[in-house]
Amino acid sequence: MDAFYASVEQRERPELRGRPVIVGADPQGRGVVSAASYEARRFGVRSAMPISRAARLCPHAAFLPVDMAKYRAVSVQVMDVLSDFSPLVEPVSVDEAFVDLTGTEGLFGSPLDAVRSIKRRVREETRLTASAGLASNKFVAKVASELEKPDGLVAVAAGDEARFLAPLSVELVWGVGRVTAKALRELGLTTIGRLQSVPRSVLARRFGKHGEHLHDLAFGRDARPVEPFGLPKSVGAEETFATDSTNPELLRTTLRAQAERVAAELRDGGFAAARVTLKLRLAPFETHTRSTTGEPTQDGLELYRRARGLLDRERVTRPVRLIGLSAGRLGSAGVGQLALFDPHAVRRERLAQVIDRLTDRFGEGAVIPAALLPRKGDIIPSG
Amino acid sequence: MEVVIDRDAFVKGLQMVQNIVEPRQTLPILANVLLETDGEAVRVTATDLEVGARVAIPAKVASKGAITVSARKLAEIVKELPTAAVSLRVTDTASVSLRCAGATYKLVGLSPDDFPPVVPASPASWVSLDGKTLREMLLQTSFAVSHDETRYALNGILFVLQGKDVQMVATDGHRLAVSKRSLGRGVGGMTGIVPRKAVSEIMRVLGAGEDVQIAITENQFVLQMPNFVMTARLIEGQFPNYEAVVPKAHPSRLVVSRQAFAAALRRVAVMAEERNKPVKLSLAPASLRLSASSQDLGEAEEGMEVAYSGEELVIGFNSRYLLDAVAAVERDQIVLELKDSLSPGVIKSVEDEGYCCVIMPMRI
Repeated sequence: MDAFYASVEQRERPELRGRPVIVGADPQGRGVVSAASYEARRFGVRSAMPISRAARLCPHAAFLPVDMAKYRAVSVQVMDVLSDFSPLVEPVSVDEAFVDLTGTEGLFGSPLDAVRSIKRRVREETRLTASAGLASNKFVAKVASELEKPDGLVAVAAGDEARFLAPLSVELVWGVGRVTAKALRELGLTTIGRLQSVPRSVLARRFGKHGEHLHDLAFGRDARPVEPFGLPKSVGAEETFATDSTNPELLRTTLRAQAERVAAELRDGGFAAARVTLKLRLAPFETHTRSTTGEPTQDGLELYRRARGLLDRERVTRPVRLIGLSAGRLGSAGVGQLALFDPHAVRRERLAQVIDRLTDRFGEGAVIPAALLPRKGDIIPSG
Repeated sequence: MEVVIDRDAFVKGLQMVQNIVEPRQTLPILANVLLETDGEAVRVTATDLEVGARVAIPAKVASKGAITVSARKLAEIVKELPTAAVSLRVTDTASVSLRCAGATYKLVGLSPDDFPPVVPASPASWVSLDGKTLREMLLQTSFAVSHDETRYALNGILFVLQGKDVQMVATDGHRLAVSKRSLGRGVGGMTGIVPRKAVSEIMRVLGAGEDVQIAITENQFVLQMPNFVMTARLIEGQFPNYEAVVPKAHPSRLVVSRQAFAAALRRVAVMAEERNKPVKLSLAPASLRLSASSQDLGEAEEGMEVAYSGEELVIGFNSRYLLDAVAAVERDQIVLELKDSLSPGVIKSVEDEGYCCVIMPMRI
């Protein structure tokens, strides 16, 4: 979907159409941009940049808070359209999905016709535009989908992948983040075409297994199937503080609240997480992450204990701007190994079920751990 | 320092301590071993600050002294030397020259004064064991030691010296292995968690016959053999209340040949490759059916005739846990005691009262 959150807001409020719209944290505060309309992007606003910077770049934009429930509802509509065209739909995020069109020619004509129909149906049902990429595999399709936003459609014929990718920047290759991109630039490998000219063995020597993978992707080779039942990769929560803080009490209570939210979301999806990651952003903008892996859990207190263990080991030398907790390595809950020394596990499971039901009925915060009750003189973390 | 050591004795001695040295150290000197003269012997000491070991190798000592040199390089050199006399001469505190047959080396070292001392505590009492018994007990428990670094107290074997018994316990939170021997004489009353690294080093150096002495003090585990001593800092932390999780009276009891059971388990487990997939045991009077299935792989099933007294029952276990527990039994018949599909199973030997392994099932 094109500038998804911002587009949904513009659709709901005609007065915002044609104007720069920025969805994210409070512009007076210190959070980040979640989405920017194309009008705002012209001013250099990008998602994930500090909202204060966006406010300087584009002060006349309409700044709106994130309304996840609204976007989720639209997302469901979009995914439903996709499901009408193929049973193999793999959602990547709330506004992005892979669709395997193999063998649907009899129903919807050529794959290109099918994609045109999908785009038309999405527009009719949501009054929003989407950009699509059509190719023989996931990687090339993803790159193609990003080239002609908004409302784009780029098709790459089978066999033409390497030629199509050659002029593009290496940063479009999956798995090339800031670090790898820098290493590649130092080798003069700025385009995917240049990357193609480097023998596989050379990349393997320089980057290990990742290097071989880069070589395959540079030629547009990607054998991963579209996986409709894929679990989400992780569930997380994070908060930017109103003012940078070194108060350990504030860090801990924020983490505790996040653990409860993440645990509730895990339970809602029927997942248990084996990996807990703590994210800390120190002033001015330096981000650290630390992870620990253990028994799969969906228990808020347990998530907090593990994150707390990571926090205690971290040397917080400078004030903290943002703290976050995410739960990864997800698997289905309620299967697997039982524990010897956790006689209360079953009781805590039941307790969590009751809390979830109360929250459903009376809203978020109806039941909270006593440790999170505000006390006199407390600093309340702001979202 | 000037000494002459027999090459074969040198190799054997080094092998007893060199594994203590960690591949990566916090202090450069921890990459070294300490060589020092001691009467008519050279003592070789290695430590990682948690576990330390010292071996005395008979030598002709021409002059006294000490030096520390790279453990890895020294072991590599001595291993390649021919069977002959090795002479070591320390010229200053920072290097040693080594000669054997026609080969000569000069090894750069570090001052012995900076080497962290390995000091065995002087315990109130020692417990004598024969090496074979100690080895058996470690084999019956070490497989269950946790590798989860967040559960520090489980990263070792709990030694309990009490009354006339020596008991060892290990658990990773899913299974618990207990090995107990009565020595027929008082052993004092001490407990301590001996770290995993010390356990594996003991098993490596324990020969067949020799007697060993062990002791536990406030914060240290000590093991002595002729010409050898090992110390380990005990793991601080609370070992879980293991006695509470060993079921006392499970109603259902299966007796089966250890080898036949293990072989069938291994065959069926091929289809339970994923970590979170159990092997299912379906029990009925006189019959046991093992099965495993995976959506992506397929299924496996095998039946065997067994002696089973109890109700019909289906229970799932991690096959690795069962195999480990069964392998620790020395006799041919094993016993598996069960209650229901969510309660732990207990594996024992038919005759050996001293060993049991408690395994939590998997949900099926």
